[in-house]
Order: sequence, then C-alpha cells, then structure tokens
Amino acid sequence: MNFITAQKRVEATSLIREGAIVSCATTISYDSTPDMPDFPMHFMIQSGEGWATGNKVTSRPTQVAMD
Amino acid sequence: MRIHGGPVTHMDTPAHFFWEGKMYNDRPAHLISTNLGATAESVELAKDGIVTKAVLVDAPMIRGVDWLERGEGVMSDDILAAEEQCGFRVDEGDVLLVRTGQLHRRNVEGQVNFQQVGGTACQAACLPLFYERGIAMIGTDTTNDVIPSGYPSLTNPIHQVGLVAMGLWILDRANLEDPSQKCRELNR
Repeated sequence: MNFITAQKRVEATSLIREGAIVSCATTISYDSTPDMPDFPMHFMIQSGEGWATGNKVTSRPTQVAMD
Repeated sequence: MRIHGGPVTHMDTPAHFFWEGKMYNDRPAHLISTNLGATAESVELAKDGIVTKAVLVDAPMIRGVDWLERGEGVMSDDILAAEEQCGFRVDEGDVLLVRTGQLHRRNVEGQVNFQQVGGTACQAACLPLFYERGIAMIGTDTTNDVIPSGYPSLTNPIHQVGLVAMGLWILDRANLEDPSQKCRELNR
C-alpha cells in the first residue's frame, strides 16, 4: 500500500482524541439478495457430526471441526 | 470462504484488475494464478493491519440530501467542500472514505440489483484529485464505481485506473453509517 510510512503512522496516531472504536464492516449475510447474487459461502471441511455416535467417516486421527 | 462482491465489506488490491495483460507497476497478470492465488499485490500485504489517518466525506450531508441517486457520482467539488466545511485535508497516505448513503437507502427501501438499476460512487473525474493528494486507499459504501460508468471503454474506471495505474487500494461496501453517526455525535 502506497505512502503509508512509519512517519505517517506516527502522525496519524497522534491525532487520536477520543480513542473510540468504530467499525466500517457490514454484517455478513449468507442469503441470496438482489444486490448479492454471488452470496458468501462458508464451507466446513470437518464437522462435529458423527463423533458421539461412532459413525464418523474420516481419515483424521483426532476429533476436530474445521472450516 | 467466498466473500467477494455485493454488500460484503472487502478490500480490492491491485491484484484485482489488469489492463492489456498488466497489473500495477507493469507486472504481468499471470502472477495472479488459479493454483497459487495472488503471488503479487496480495491482500496478505495488509495482514498486520493498516494504521494511518482516515477521513470521511459524507456526500449526502454536504449536498443536503438523504443519499446520492443511482447513476450519480461524488465529484471532486464534494470532497473539497467537505474539507472546507469540516476543517480537514486529505493528505498523502490517507484512507479516503466517501459515504454516498447507499447503505442507508438499502436499509430504508430494500435491496436492489445495482447492475440493473444503477449505482453510485466517486465519479472517475475524482481520480486526478486522488493522485494529486496521494491517497493510499479509497473506500465507499458502494462497489466504488458509478453504474453505468459513462465511459464506453471502461466498465469500472475507478478500479481500472486506480488499481492498475495508481496502485490505489479499494475498500468496497464499507459500513460508513456508524462512522458518520459518530462524527455527527462528536461534531467533527
């Protein structure tokens, strides 16, 4: 990223007066909407299902869940 | 996790767009590959965070409207007017955040397909100002290009010029409602 030097960071942080935190992030929705045809997808590659019943089919030696 | 596009806040790096097979700093586009991802200009460059000054230009507040209309662009004069009215200056290395009010409009009127009804953002005529001031990143509450762009050969001029020619990072679909509200509370 251009122009953000150590000096720039010092100057920027010296401007802080309130110390308040404000997010610029929207809340992720996983629904398909008119303005979100390519909606977010979250994939699990290993889940907790089946461990308790002994029906888990996996090559992993430990009981884990991962995305 | 696939998250790029639409109303999800995300950053575009210069690895996102190409011009005649080249990316920023004349690097070949094939440095972004299917199997390796972005081997140059990756978003991982920001893995430690971005610490700099950010300035918020609230375009609807400057114009005295609820939101900018679709197909309408924020102009350099809006940014200059915000500097004068609010007492700040956009400097080198800053993140310039420009609120168009589209997230507010989405909350009030519901979701629409911007490709069909049009969208707002900074107009491409702002690019010289971005270059002169040396901003590091432009962020808006939209996808950062007026739809339609108004340029027959450029579908996304802010992206195609900003990312490729200037190395300008882009923050798409930022939530600028909360920062705007905070600035109003603090009268800043």
